[in-house]
Amino acid sequence: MPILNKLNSFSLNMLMGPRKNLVMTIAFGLTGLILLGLSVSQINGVFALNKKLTTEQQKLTQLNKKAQELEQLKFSPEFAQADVVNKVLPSHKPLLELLNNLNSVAAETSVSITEFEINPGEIATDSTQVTQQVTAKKQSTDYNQLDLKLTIIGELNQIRRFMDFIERVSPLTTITSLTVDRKVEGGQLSGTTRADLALSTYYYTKSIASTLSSPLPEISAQEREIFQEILSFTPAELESQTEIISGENEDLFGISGLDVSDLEETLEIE
Amino acid sequence: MSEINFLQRRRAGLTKVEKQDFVYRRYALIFFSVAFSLFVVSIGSHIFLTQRLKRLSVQHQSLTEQIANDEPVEISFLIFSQKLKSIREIYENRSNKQQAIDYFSNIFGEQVFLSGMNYGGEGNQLTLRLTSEDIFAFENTLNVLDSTEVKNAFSSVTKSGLRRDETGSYSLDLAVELKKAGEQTNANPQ
Repeated sequence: MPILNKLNSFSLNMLMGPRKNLVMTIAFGLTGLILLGLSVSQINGVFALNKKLTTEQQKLTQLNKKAQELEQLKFSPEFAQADVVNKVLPSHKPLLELLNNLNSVAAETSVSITEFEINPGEIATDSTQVTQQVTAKKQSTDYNQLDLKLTIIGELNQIRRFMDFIERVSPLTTITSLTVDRKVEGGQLSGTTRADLALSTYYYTKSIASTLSSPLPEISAQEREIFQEILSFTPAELESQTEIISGENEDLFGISGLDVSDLEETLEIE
Repeated sequence: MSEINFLQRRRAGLTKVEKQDFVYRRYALIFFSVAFSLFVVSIGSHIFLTQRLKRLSVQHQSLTEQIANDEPVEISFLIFSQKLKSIREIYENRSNKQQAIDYFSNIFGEQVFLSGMNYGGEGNQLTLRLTSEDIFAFENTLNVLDSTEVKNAFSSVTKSGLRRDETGSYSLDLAVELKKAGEQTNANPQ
């Protein structure tokens, strides 16, 4: 064994002695190559990370902007009155509101509604389709309309006021057709005027969806003007039920406890 | 006794090879240093960017939660803006019929009155029937209808059907093409 060790030491010295620089060159070269290979894969990773970082940064900027906008929204004067828009363009078929408005406007302008025709379609659910051909007149899929035909009688000024008022109530109602016929008798107009009107009341039907990073829509100057205008619209004042009158099965006519003489007295009073 | 050095050439040869090896070693060392530096820089960049991405992810998570908390506000605003757009669309398709009726009711004076009107259809047209006992009152009416003020206020005004009935009253039909609210008008009839 000592002889073998001597030989090894000798051969190593023989190799390292005169050519040790070459051995180190090879060692540095190989290590450098390995490091270079590792660096290339790392650099590819760095580029991929940088790309991801840029995308993430853009997303973050969008989210930050959206979060700030949402914070500012809470203090926006328009948004504070957003409920007005829901009344002007409700998300349900506004049949009751329309009838209530007609009644209110007719009373306000002192005109008489003599004929009335409406086809509300299905009203059990919100935003159900009107089954008649009125849907063909739709101009947008975002909203639908409830059509109504009516005849009103009154003086021309009253009818003009009716037309003016009915287009300034919420839900949004538009006169789509109008026929006015005034009788001329002996060169003078008769007092009463008959007007046949067709009205359309609009309601919103589109479903709205949003993603987390999608930006908030902007409201144009024209829309702001229109919003200011609809703030002056008269809302439909539907009376809500305030008490419950229970059905009485045992005493249908409210005469329990009364005898015949009491009933006779009641009838005499009436 | 003189000494004979048999390895004299060998020594010179080895020295030359050693010098060459030294040069190679220097280049190899430079290459190694560059590769090592590159490796260190790339590892460092990788760690730095990973940390930054982690921080961004945390911020992303935080903002996502914030926006999710404000979801009712966002939904309300989306409904608000979409409905407002629809209202604008309906408004743009509305015509200024009331203004037109008011305008034509008052512009011709007391001798000419509005005896009938019709509005509707795809053409957005308002048809008015003017009646007067005095034929000369219509002369003024025709002048008014031909004025630039009327032409500016309405897309087109067409006169037709001048007739006289058994009571001696004259009537004239007027077809007015109304501008929609969305169209820009340079004169609003008042």
